Amino acid sequence: MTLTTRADPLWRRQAHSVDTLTSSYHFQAGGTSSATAWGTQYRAIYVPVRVPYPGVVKEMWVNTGSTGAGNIDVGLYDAAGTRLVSTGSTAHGAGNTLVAFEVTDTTIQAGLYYLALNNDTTTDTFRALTTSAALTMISGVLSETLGAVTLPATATWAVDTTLAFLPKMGALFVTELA
Amino acid sequence: MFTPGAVEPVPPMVGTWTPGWGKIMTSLLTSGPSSGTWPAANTGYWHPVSIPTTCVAKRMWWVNGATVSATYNLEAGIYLDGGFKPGAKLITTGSVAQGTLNVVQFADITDTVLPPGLYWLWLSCSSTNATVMRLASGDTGLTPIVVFQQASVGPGSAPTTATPAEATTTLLHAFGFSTTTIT
Repeated sequence: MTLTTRADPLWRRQAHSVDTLTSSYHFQAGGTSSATAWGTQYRAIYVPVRVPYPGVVKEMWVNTGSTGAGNIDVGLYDAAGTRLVSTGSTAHGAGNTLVAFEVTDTTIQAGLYYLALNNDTTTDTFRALTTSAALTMISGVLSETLGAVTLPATATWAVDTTLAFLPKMGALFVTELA
Repeated sequence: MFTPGAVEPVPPMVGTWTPGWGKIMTSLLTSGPSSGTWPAANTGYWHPVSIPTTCVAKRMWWVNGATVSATYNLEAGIYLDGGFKPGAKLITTGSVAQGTLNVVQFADITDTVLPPGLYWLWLSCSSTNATVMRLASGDTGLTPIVVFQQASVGPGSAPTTATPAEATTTLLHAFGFSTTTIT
């Protein structure tokens, strides 16, 4: 699989985004995003999102911060914890911008899915909503500490009692009309 | 050409604030959740939740605050709607000792199928010294509109049929049910 970072901005594309900002169960009044250090090496974060229509996932995206010497893996899981698609290990890039990565076209049905992000450093930064551990817990956000940056084929996730930020990430897909 | 309608997936955690399921606008949220003491000993509160698609409630949950003790007890549950107010008890946890501070505490219930409709989430506590996470609303008139309460029904004594009164507290507690068994 070839990973390609596209230079054109996201808003110019005719694609739909399912992401942690618009499709998750997280709620917060006056929420703002800021550059946030990953904090725990190899801690994969899984955020449940609603996918109301079937579609084909074309790309995964993440909002990187300005500090990024490490690698990331961005993926999508079904509700049972099975990885459907991911970018694989790729450079963070320190671009301080929205970065989209082409992935294998993956058809998914409407339902509950989990966006996943992992990082192999403690210091790489990502744009994230500053929130509280209580809010992420009751929003259904899960995590798993891995031994590498690559997201696992099957998640062994758990409720995270300390995670106090919600990274901005998502999947871009084209909607299929039957 | 047939265009399929939107599907509402079942979220892993359902509460009064759950987008698309809760009955309280998240835009009214001004702060929180934050830790605070239980308003009145052995008093329980009902919060409404509108379930758009059939789901299975597997556990109840609430969020403990900064001061906890196993001597404090809570009971969470689900009530059927009784005409836009709480009606008959559907399922509860029974009395459960409070656990770890500042985290979500789960309590098992018998798996309960919930067809679409209006339901009322129930939470009671035995002590005003116990703390739980609650949310603050920017609208002081909100709570009496959407929250009901009943006194003298401590944990383990959730009423079979609700006798609801308008809530006299302005607090909106963070609690609900889970459709998964992930811990």
